[in-house]
Amino acid sequence: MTDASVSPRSDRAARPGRTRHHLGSGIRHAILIVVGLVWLVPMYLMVVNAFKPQTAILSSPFGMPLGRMTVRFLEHALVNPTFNVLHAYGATLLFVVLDVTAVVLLCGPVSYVIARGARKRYQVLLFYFVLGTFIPGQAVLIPAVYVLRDMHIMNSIPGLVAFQTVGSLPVTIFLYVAYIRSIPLSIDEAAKIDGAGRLRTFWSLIFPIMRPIVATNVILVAMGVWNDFVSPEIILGPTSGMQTITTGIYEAIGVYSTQFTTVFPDLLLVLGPALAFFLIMQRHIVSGLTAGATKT
Amino acid sequence: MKRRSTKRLAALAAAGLAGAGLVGCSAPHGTSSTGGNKTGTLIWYVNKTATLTPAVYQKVADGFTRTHPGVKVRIINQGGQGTGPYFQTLISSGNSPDVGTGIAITPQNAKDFVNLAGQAWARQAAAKNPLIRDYEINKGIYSTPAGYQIQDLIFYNKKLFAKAHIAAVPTTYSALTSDMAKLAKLGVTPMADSGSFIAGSQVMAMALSTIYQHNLLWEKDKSAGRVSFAHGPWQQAMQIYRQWIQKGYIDKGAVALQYNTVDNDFLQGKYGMYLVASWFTGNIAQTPPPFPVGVFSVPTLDGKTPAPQAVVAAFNWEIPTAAKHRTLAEEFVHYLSTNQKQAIAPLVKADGDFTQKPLYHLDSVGQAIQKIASQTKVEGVPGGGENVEPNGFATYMDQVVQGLWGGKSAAEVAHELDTWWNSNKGSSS
Amino acid sequence: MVVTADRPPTLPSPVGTGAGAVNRGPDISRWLRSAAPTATMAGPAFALFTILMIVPLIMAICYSFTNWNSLSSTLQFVGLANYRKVFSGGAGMMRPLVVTGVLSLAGTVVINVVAVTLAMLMNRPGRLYKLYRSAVFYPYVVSAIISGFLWSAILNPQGAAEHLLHGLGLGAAPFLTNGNWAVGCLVLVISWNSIGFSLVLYLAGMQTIPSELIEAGQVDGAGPWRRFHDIIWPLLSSTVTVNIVLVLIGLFQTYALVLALTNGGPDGQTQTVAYQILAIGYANGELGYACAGSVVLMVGTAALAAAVIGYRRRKESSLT
Repeated sequence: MTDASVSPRSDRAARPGRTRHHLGSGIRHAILIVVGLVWLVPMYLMVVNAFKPQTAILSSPFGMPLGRMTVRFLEHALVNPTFNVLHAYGATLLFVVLDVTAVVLLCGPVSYVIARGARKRYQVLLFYFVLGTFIPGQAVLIPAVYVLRDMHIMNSIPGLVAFQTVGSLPVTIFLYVAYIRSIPLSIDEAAKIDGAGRLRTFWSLIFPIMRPIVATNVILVAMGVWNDFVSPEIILGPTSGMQTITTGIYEAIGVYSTQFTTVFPDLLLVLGPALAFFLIMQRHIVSGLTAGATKT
Repeated sequence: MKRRSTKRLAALAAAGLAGAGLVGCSAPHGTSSTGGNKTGTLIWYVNKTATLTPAVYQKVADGFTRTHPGVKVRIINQGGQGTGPYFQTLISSGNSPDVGTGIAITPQNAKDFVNLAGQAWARQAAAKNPLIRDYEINKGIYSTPAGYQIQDLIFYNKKLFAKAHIAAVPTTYSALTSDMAKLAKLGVTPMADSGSFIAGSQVMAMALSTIYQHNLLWEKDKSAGRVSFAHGPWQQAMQIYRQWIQKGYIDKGAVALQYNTVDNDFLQGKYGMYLVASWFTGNIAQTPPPFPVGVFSVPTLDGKTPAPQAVVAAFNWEIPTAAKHRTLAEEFVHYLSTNQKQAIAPLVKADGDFTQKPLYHLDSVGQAIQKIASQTKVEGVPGGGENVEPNGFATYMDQVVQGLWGGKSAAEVAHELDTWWNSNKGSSS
Repeated sequence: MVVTADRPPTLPSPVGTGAGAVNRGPDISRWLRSAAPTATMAGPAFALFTILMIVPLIMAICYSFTNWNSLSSTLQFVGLANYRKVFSGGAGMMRPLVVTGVLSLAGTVVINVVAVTLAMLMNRPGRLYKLYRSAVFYPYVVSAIISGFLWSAILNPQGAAEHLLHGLGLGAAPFLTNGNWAVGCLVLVISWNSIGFSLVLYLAGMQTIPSELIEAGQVDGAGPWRRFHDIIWPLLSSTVTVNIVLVLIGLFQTYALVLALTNGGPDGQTQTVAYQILAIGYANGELGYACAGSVVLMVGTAALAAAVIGYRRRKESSLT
């Protein structure tokens, strides 16, 4: 590692450095513009082709033949009896809210206990939970279905919430414990002197301080639930009558994945609101994600 | 997914279609027994296609719920998977429907389905309908087929055939291949094909149309080790198929296409021929093409005519033992299997299927198919429901046949099929 | 808490970094040890986790030695038969195991290398840079199943990608019709989806590196590569480790993308282990076999993750 001391050198003349920097900046922008465009091309294709008939899509997928554009495929997708987009959005949002709430309520207290626990057993408990990081969802899905059936919550909202919550426990507890450990014990001590119980201490004093990591965690859990396909597909299932965005789009497109007049409008319908939300909220999403990643 | 259980009954349809005095299905179903005191929501798993829409099934269900107050029917269907595999997935994941279709019932998995032989109506229906009898397993009735399809057919674009100066339909593979060459010269892809289940069905049709000439018990023989995929008609058929792919007579990118796209493309004149089962008549009726459609039989490998036709049941309704509303399910299947007007006719008409007594007016293509079927040999089928492939065979074959595009030889694919069959025959699932 | 130059910014690490080893008085210990609040505070999470993760895991291990098909009452012990089938070719999971491994490793490398590179390029203030970041990050809200359908339409033989190649005068490419190309496309789509998240993480990590350190490197005549290798990379260490491990674990479970992009084809060549478990095991009612695959998947994931963590730990400790 180079010596961090600053020493002026004669070759660090201002003008050559500025020119170098400026050229570098131009190339930098060029590269990043290309990267950005490449990343955005799929969206362009999705939007443009959602309004074209099959022949137009096949003959010129990148084109925008204004004369032949039509909303009839989009309308068709909107009234598709197999997939009620509005209901699916509602259901998915419901699961996001329920799961995030459950995760925070369950993981907060247990992380506090582990983080403040001096005995070995708390390390073991932490290890027990972190073990879950290595257990793939698909591995336990099959038997978990039968456990849920025995608990009589299979094919229901509580069943899916329970399963998805458990999936988020390992990483959440990992993050919370690390963060709590960086909070000075003086706060706990002060609460104890005031006669507060541990649960109250946690929720009223510690939890407010955990805001950055909770923000990160909430976004991670919310996005995980939003994008989850396998769990609702199997646990909610078609017999529940409820679809999420993911299971709904799978059923709507299904075997019609090369019928472009079905695929693009359906995708636009599903991604449109999500992307709009992202555009508005992305500053918060990014800062939330990174809040817990750096200790500031 | 269009393909049903591949239990094939050669030429039974012929007898029926020729109208040779077979009595039709039982008389139209009257009012149900006293409206029943069973209530609840029945989960009905169906095969959704371009022609068998949710609306069609809904009307059928309404015919039942009208006479059964307190009963609702929720219709669910396969997403992106095959009909049978998704049905099995639902059962495996504890989401079993009450009534469904698509799983090939074998002696090994029959115990997981309800045996209807105890019901008088089922025994009566079986007595009248040889199709039901042939699906029996050890005298148990586990599925009640209503309607059937003819499998080994090639639909063709008469306009393109005329343009390519093809005077008569081919009856041998050499004639068929040279006809393909003529179509290719026009700049048209001669044979329509797609991934999903079509490629596998085509190879199956080409092989079985030869095999069934002299051996209706091929599946049983295969499980007993007396015949194999390698070195026989299967391998020969795949060799021809592979040549077609290499020559470009079958689209090189076909495996990445879905069958419904190719259905539509054929009806828009993009292909000269389409080797597919008789359900395609439903699509033709729904979207009449701007050219006349003809149909001829898949040739036999030895050129003998007429080629035997295979028959596959459509709409065989099954009740898993895991069903929640078993009694209700049995009543619903009773309705589905015997009520010609409200349950059978709408479905077979939409799907372009045949019944012993015609339930709808056949158009020119349907009549041409009827003619083909009536010209084939009439044979009874011994062995019944035990003469089937192991469950999962159709899915596996659909997959490995795609290897012919990827450079595998016919011998290699045949070997894979042999290996799979040998390790799965008599399997418990 | 103030970040000083000799305290690297990290994702918090709860295990033995000394952060928690603060002096505790006897009063606090007893207070912390009292049992009743522990039970109510830890109980629910412990119970739910045990019931819905550990118990099913044990069930999966047990059933993997049987011929469980979810229905049959004739459950039988079959020893290692399911595992033999898992490790066999043809209808077994041999190729899926390879595909899963290749996909996960290649995906992890591509995602992290590209994300770090882009982070280096984008680590500047200004609205334009935030725009570039958004452009790369937005696929985070695009779920795998949606991504699969979208890219399937683009990479299809009749799709936009072939058109582009045609327009550039190149021949057609077998994106989804050739087995190995299709696996490559999987890596491509996964990268498109996931690079944004890693990018944001690395940017955050880089932005906590004091600029004096980097400028000092500039003054010393270090070019961009040296600055990166000697200053930035070591300080990103634990962020990198955690990200690599989590990305790797996630990739091992690839299923929905395969379902939508290729449905396991062509000729089953893009099937992953998760695909075999869910789309084949379930669909054939072979749950014992599916459980065996699950166990193998888990063991593989844990082993590889442990290896990566061990390797990175050694690297991290050799730098501090």
